[in-house]
Amino acid sequence: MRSRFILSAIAFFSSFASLAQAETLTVYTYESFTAEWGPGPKVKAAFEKDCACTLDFVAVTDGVALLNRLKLEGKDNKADIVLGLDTNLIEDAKATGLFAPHGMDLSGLSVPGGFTDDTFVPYDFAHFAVVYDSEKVKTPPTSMAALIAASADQKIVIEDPRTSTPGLGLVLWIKSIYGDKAGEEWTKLAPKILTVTPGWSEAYSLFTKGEAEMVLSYTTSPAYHMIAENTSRYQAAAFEEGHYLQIEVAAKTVKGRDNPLSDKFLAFMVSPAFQDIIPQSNWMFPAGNTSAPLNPVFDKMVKPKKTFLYSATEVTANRKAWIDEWQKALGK
Amino acid sequence: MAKSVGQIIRHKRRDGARLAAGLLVLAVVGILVASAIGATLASGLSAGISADFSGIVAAALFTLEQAALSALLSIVFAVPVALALESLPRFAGRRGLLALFAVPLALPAIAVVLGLVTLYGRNGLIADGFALAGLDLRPDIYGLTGILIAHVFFNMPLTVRLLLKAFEEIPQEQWKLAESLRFGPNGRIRHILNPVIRQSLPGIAGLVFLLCAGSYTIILVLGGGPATTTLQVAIQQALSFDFDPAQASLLTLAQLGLTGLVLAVIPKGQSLFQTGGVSLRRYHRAGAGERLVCAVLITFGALFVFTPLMAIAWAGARAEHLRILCSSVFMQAIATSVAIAACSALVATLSAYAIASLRHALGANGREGSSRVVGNLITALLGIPSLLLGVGWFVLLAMTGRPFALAPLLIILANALMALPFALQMMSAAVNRHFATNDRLCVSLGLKGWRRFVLIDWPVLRPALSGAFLFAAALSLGDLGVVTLYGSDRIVTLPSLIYQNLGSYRSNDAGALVLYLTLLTGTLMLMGTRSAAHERD
Repeated sequence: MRSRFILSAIAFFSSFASLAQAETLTVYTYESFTAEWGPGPKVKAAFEKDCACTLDFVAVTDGVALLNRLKLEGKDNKADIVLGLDTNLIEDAKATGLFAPHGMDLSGLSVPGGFTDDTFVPYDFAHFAVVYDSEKVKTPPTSMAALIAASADQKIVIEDPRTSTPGLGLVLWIKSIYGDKAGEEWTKLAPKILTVTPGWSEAYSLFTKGEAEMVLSYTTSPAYHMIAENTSRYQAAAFEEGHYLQIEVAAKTVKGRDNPLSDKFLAFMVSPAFQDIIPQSNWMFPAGNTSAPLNPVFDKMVKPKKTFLYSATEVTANRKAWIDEWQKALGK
Repeated sequence: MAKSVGQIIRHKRRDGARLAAGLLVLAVVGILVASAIGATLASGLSAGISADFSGIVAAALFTLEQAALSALLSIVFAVPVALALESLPRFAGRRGLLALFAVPLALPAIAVVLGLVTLYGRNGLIADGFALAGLDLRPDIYGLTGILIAHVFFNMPLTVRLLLKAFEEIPQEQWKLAESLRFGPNGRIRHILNPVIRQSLPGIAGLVFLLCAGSYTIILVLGGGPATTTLQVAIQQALSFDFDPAQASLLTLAQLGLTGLVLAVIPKGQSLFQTGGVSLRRYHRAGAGERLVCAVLITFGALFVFTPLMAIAWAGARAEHLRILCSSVFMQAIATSVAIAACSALVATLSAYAIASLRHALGANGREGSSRVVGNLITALLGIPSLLLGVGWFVLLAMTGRPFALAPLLIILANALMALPFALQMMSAAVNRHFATNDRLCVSLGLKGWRRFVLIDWPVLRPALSGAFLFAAALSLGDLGVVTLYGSDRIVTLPSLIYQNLGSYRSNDAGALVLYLTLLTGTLMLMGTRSAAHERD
């Protein structure tokens, strides 16, 4: 026990000295992807089985931090593949000039709204949704309008659009529905907002602690509770207007273009070998075909009648103005 | 005559060595900080402060308001508790209580928020109590109230510990004198404790103020919305979606300027060069009335700190401990955290010792003002977000082509810088008293350098230095810090593992990890708390 302790301490200090070997693919991603229970370990095993190579993950906090790290490193980055940006970040990412087109035929993928891009390849998706505690909310809101009009007795926790992806997602969702009137609707929603957290983790923790009856999360959140915890207490509310979509994407870098393993990985990523792993480890819907039908629980998830998604260009152009509008509406 | 001239020369030389070592450390700290801020500023000072100016002013005002209120409340609650603990130097559980008092600061903010919410939240135990009593009341802590409760929870116990540390340095003779003059509790407070409080409070207030000014997760989660926005939120925003390190630097400089102003207007503590031997032994016996008052105060303070920690323990107790404790991820995370904590605590303690010696040398040579400036500069380190240090150093190291090769070193340095103000505050009084008392003795014995440190300094200062070391280690254990920037699947610390779990719906496991972190910190602190009962004359 003790020697293991010391060994890992030594490993910590020496791990940075070891240089990558020849047949290595380096993938930058976010932490919950590489966590013990995340898709990372299974993805690594599945890819290494066929390629006689090493798949190396470098993980940062989240998608936003991932892009920031690339901006910091610039051309000197070590990544062959960057996996885990979402569509809102694509424009910014392309502007760095660090990414190379994939040149793949992606007609086999099925993402709502039919997202296509010459550089970024989608690997999973889910819609944002208001998740509620069915023990406390007997009549869940059936639309965004109903949520906004509801009494302030039942509270929702949301994430901050200045620092988190779901927070930005809700701003875009409400903008998609209400356009120029979004600010007014935010003001009406304000009394129902218990608090605004820096990220998804804090919001969801407050929700499961019972502080709020609702939280902004994903349509797939109930699947986790139903499969891993065997409870259907937490459910997502289907909204009549439709739901905003989050798509997670990956791309090869300019540096990765020279590594033959990069193309191999992108092809592997959209194949069933990778896609099978996604639903029950990343808790998102697979973008490509799986070898077997998903766990039937996923069929019970909310299926939005309509999907909202701004193009990356629109998001980049308007993000600041729309977040300002949000801040002014709630800041009173 | 010749001898006394020789003594003066040696005296100067000794102070010279202290000045040199302290200034060296100060210069290194200054270079580390300035290079980080300079590099981020240079990395792209394109737009200047682009956020709307009125927003920044509003954020700055709220930063001031909540930090000043938090500091004030922490001190108002801490002073009576500290006096009560001083008055009752031995009772069962005193050591454990003081160890507990060091835990809040070492916990990740989100863990503390969840613990507080379990108690004071809409669905918390107090709300349950109201419901049981048939009252239709639901506490609403979201807003300034919640922010203040959380900040007092962090800082009241810290202030108590720092005050008690200062009380420990009161020479034994003063207590003997107080007893022979038959001082009652009022006399003891007025003549013995009050001067010490007045000397140490300005430093402590500055520390607490800066801690609260730099608070982030608590402000956002308990603040209730963007109306309660601080400069720190704007800094985090600039390091997140907006990714504009130059702007983050400018905001940090604004925050430093603001806190500099506050540190400048805090009334200066009169310097107090205590000399003589110290002991935890007290000669008075508290009367029944005094004991009762003290017991009530201590119980009140203990409950305030203890109940949220119990809530954390309760939330963590339900997990599958065997599976978590035996997982290789956990073993690795704890080894990594301990290794980082030990290294950064060592760096912080040695640096603090050098700085404390420098401050003593300055003070002893009539440069009280410079000594205070040095203290404020070190305190101001708390105003710099460690993430900004990380980004700055990264930009610099990027020129070498392998910016991540030094990642472990940078994490250690960043943690050490963050712990340095606490370590300094914890040992300052002891170092001052020791030098003032024993320097002459060492000169007359001809002891200097390493031999002096081993024979004289270490035996006397061991409690202060090891206390500072353990406290710095505990802070580093719970710090998420720059690990998130440099993180890879290779560096996983306990706090980053907690966040990984929270980020994947695994709140039970996260709760268990928080519990382990609490226990680990508590144990460390228990090791570092001197016990009056164990000390003999």
